[in-house]
Amino acid sequence: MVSLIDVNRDDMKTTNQTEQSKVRTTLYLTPENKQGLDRIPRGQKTALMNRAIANALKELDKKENAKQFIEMINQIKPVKMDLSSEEIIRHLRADKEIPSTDLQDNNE
Amino acid sequence: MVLDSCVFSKLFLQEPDHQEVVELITELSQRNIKVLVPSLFLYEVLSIAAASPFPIKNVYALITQYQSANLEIVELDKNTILKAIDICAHGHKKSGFPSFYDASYHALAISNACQFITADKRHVAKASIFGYVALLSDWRKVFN
Repeated sequence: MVSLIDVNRDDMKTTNQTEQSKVRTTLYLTPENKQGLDRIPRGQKTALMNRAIANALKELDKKENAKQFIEMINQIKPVKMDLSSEEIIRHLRADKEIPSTDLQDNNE
Repeated sequence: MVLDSCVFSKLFLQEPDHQEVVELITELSQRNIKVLVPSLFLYEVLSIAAASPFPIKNVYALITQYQSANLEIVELDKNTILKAIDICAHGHKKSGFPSFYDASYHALAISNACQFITADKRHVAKASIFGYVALLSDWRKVFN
């Protein structure tokens, strides 16, 4: 795991010589991660660290979104239909018209 | 895991197994389990919503929120379609053959070596020989 402790803006060139905005920072690594990173060839470490951080942040976002989704489903007030969802799907898949219950609130 | 559109739709439909679905999807979300569905899922769920008094925009918001977490809507690849065709061909003249729609979900589960959860007992009766399918009422067994 890595932790961000200080951030100073600085423009640098990427290892493949394309212009890209970067930020110079200091990271405290665990001995295991430092050892693992030492095996990576020079010039590829930054890309690897960025990929790892991006993936970790993406996972955090997904967890937060899942929390919000659970909140949403717990707030749902389900509505009654004349048919069960299995029967409705069977109608749809057989290309039959679905008998509608009451559409007045459908486009709120 | 692959979820049938009839299962997801129970989130906004008042049915005896509504709470069962809330618990299943909560469990999937808390365990960070990826849920795969074929693209027709979106049209089926929204079609059900359109025929119900539940606001269709809210259902779409629900789907997009789930997509930002664990739901992935996928296009079927060639092998999955071939598997679906295979499932469709497996039936009986009297009891009927699985529909291509049902088979699409089921084939997606087989292709990804995961379970297809459906509330449709007829499909399970027709296609359980292919494995990778479970009834909504049995979802807890899938986790054990």
